[in-house]
Parts: sequence; structure tokens; C-alpha cells
Amino acid sequence: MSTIVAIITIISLMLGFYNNNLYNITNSVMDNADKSIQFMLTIAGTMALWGGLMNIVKESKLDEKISSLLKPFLRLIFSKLNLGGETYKAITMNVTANLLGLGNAATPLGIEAMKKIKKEENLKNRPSKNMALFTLLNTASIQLIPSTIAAIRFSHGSKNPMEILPAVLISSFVSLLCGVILIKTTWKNENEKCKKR
Amino acid sequence: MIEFISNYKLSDMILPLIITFIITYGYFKKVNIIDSFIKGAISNLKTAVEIFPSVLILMVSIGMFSSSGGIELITKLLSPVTSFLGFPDECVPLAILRPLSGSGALSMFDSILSENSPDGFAGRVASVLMGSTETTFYTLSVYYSACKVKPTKRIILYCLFADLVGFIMSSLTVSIIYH
Repeated sequence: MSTIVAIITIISLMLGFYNNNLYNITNSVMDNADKSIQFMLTIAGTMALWGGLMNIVKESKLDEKISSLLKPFLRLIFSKLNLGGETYKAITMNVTANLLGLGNAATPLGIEAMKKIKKEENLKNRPSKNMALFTLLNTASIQLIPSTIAAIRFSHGSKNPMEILPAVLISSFVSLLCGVILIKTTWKNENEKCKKR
Repeated sequence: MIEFISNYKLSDMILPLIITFIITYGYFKKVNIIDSFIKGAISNLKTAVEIFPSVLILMVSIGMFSSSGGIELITKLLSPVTSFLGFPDECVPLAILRPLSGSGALSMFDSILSENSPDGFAGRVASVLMGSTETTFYTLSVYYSACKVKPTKRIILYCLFADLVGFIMSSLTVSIIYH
């Protein structure tokens, strides 16, 4: 992130000299520093609301129910993992957290799942197909309710902040599906070759 | 019956339904829902405070970049590709930033919505893009460094491919669903 900020500011300074609009940049710095706190207040309310609701989900063990419902679907994606095992449980818990939009909970669960996949498949330092599929599940957003995005839309006067929901769901699903199909068809199992030798 | 159901849109129903369901479920499972809510809400408020400084620096630097004419420049350079895909020019910087930085994408999203109507084509595409993609590089680096496995180029490409599909799908779904 440091690199991004450095590149962006250096280029904007150069462009400011080139286009002779440093005046605009000065104004925008002050304007954005002022706006940022308002922006934070916009999303903080929604973030707190969902944090609270999702803690109720956790304490009432609803998340474990959801993750047991997910198992048959995840079986279609991952292959050669012990279905009753710890690894599978960690994977389903992480996917549940992602579906519910629990970013904070999803990351530690995801790391745990990665470590367990590594252990169960007995890998050294090369990633496996299941690892690739699992990270894809985490980098293709599968959140069911885009609450923060709806809050930002609302703050900009959208008449129906949640109307994007069907498009978000279709778009997430298709990108995930394309990724899974690509991995399933083109993965070269370098690791397994090594083992056989 | 069908008329009755079609009067209620999924997007209108989902929030009230989910919120009521979570609260009632917790209540009947004898969870102290207020205490539990407060705990979770405070932990997310802390997160909001923690990410504020990075949102601030990104909002300021992205603001500098857009007022210096940088965003216009990138958009112009990439416009042959994007117009071919039917992707709105306004969302190009968001698509570039999205896999790299979560706070950066949030700030960029906010700036797009302040210049375009959230209910217009570009505003909707930006919203769908935000909802259907993730901070790919951040997630990859956290996950693979934590389990001490080196992510191959191939894995990064797989994830970026899924992101690209997400970008294209976001403009496609918006133009199909909302004309």
C-alpha cells in the first residue's frame, strides 16, 4: 500500500506541474481530509450494526448450522479431502464467515484452514490444487449482503441502495464459477509428480 | 399467489428478513441478544477506527491524483479496451485499485459516487464491482505467508482471472438487469 500511495502522489504532483493545476490539488487535499471523517461515520454505523448482528449469529451457533448446510456444495469444489475431518470444518467455517460478510472472523479461520490443508496433504512449500481453490473462494467475494456498499450508496442519495443485490450475486457467482472451472481444468500437479518419483 | 410474491422484490425483503431472523433465532436460543450485539458492534467500531487513517491517506492521495488529471489520463489510455467491453470509463480506476487495496477501493468508490449518480450506469457498475470482487493481493499475501507456502504465479493469475470476470460481469449484469 505504501508503494501505491507514493506512486499516486508523485504522479499527481508531476501532472499538477504539467497541467498547471496545483491550485486544484491544494483544494482537493483540504476537501478530502475534511470529507474522510464524514465518510468514516457513514460506514461505521453500518459496520457496527452488522458486527453486532453477526455476534448474535455466532453466540447462537447459527453459523455452525449454516456451515453444515454448505458441506455438500463445497464437496463439489474440493477433492481428495477427508470430509469429516478438521480441515473440512475449518474450510466450511471460513466460507460461512465470508458469506455473512464477517471479514474479521474470516481471515483467522482462513489461515487455520490453509495450515490444515497443508498438513493433511503433506505439502512442503509448493501450493496444491485445493489451496488454489480455497484462496479463490476468498479472493472472489462471496458476501451475500453488501451492507457497507449499500450504506455508501445511501449516503450519496441512492433511491434504492440494495437494488444492486441480484447483480452482485450473479456477478460473484459467475466469476467464482469461471475461476473454479479454470483451476479444475488447467491445474498441473507438480507436487504429486514429485511425490511419485 | 405469484402476483403476491412478485410484488415483493428480493432486494426489498432481504434486510428486514435477515435482521428479524437473526434476532428471533438468538432470542429463542436464549442468547442475551443485547449484550451479544453490543460486543460485536464495539469490535467492528474498533475496526472502523483502526482503518480510518489508511482511508484518510488514500482519500487524500486519490483526491490529489484525480484533481491533477491523472484519472482522466488513465481512463483515456485504457478507453479502447474498456469501450470494447462496454465497461464504463469512470470505473476503470476502481477496477485497477480493487485487487490492490481495500481502503483505496472504498475511497475510490466514494469518489465515483460523488461525481456520478449512484443510480446511474457508472454508479451501479461501481457498486456491483465493489460487491463482487475482493482485495485479491492482500488476501493472497496474508494466507500464503501465514502457512509458509510460496504462492505461484499461476495461483495469482487464477485469482486475477476471476476478478477480471467479475469486472466484466458487473457491467454486463447492470446493463441487462437495469437496461
